[in-house]
Amino acid sequence: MSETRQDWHAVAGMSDLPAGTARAVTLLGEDIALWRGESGSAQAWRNQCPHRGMRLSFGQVRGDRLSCRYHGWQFDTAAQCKFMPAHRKISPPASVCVPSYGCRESGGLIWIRLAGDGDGFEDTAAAGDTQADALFCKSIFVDGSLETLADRLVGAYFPPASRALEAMPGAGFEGEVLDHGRGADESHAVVAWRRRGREPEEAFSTSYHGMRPARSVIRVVAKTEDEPPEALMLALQAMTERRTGVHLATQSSGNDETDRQRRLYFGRWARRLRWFLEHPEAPFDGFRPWT
Amino acid sequence: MSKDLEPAALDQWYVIESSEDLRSDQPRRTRLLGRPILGERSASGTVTIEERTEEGETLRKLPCLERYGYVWTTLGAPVKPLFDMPEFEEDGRRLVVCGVLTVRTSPGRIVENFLDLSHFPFVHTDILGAEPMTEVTPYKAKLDESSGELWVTECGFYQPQAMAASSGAAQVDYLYRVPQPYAAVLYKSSPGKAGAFDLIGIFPQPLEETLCDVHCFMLVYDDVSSYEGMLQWQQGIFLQDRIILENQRPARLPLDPKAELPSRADTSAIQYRRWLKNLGVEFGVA
Repeated sequence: MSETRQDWHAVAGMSDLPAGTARAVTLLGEDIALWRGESGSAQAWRNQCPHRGMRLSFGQVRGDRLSCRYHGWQFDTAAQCKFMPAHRKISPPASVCVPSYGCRESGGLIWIRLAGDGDGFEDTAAAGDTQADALFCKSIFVDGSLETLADRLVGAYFPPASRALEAMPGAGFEGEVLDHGRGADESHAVVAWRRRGREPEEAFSTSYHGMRPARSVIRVVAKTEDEPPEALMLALQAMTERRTGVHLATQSSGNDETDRQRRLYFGRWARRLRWFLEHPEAPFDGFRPWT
Repeated sequence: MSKDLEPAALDQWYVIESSEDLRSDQPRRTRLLGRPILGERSASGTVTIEERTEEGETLRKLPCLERYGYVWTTLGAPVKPLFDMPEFEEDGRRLVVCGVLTVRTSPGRIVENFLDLSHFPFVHTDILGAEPMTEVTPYKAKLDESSGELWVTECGFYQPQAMAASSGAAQVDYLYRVPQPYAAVLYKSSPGKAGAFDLIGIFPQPLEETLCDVHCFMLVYDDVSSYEGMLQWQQGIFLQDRIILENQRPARLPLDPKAELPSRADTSAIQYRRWLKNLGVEFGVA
């Protein structure tokens, strides 16, 4: 997995990290403290206080500093220690800091890269999914490697995401999937699609964004003539060799109540998706995510 | 197959059960330093302890002592007898055997946390410390050459509820005694007897390198508190520490001085790690 440390990975929904909170996430086997100051952007650090190894995700956010749960050492957003309570009058030396990782927020999700600095985010496929109107829906955590799940998710036969779109209430996707196939470069799948009671006229395009790491971002875009395209994004997080996170985001409708419905809908769908992903022996016909 | 252990770990005395809990109808099947142990009390009261194979066959009888309310054994050949605690002979003290708490970390992390002063306001908030009284005043930590014990002296800390019997906040004097790497006792100003010290001790029983049963006692001048009240106070403190202890990385105690960054308040930990390194302790350290 080492080569993928240079890549950007989704690890959480932006709205799952409110201001003033800290939590732990796992990426490629690394324990990471994710936190957000009262006014700031998300920070991703090695989850280990340099003092006595305490996991910083247990810390308390105080203003724009993270305070370690064990001895109250305070670190600013540059990951530099600014205060040691046991020595109130001493300025901590510059050497007291926490290793930090590149961290960006885009498309409703928080993205991390473990190696390299914070640059290069714009060049990645993750940035291609930047949507000002993104709506984070839900994260699920599934037994299985990213490779296995990616195969199951966007294999030759079916992109379950398109079925979700198909039945997405209020989004103009009442319809059925007619056929699907793979693009020549295997980077996307095309799904012919029609609305119930109408001639086939539109298609989903499922593209495997984020070729590094391969297929970690799956995007389903519904292209229609008479409506703006709508997208569903599934971003995969390789937590360990045996566990994978799937983060689901779609577009905001601009209406709070409709958005709430969308989150509820995709939340339910995501739970069924998890069951499907963890039961490779289950026939796909039996999987009706919207029911 | 149990791996070869170094003398520094083997030759210590370890508690495997409290005397009152090792009853004739209740043998203790447990582990010590990764090896299966069976402790039994006969109907006449005699305690035997044996090391067993993983399949439960007797390998050998182990030395056995009953002292300070606990049953002690060793897997090695200690050069010193079990350390003496003369305070157990003093009149007017109450012994509280606080039971056993399983903690998923190394014995070194447990002892070091026990010696730590600067975590009080953050982990035991409004009990053993409170912000902004977080300053740790200079104290001494020294290996006593004649006894081979680590002593930490001249410690003081402002504490809102120093003991179960405390009636209010007070500046409390502390000292610590580490008679062997994996056992520690603290002495703190007694609210029950002016000028005297109450004792609190921990005896980690390392089941595995990063898994311990921690036996804990208090020996106090306290005619006020109920047994349950004292037990509750001490267990509350220990549960707060457990959250910390089980979330330190790595779980083994790092002995390389560059692995973690201490401050002056960590003088006791610096000396403790240096001591373990010089003794050649390998079990439970990184």
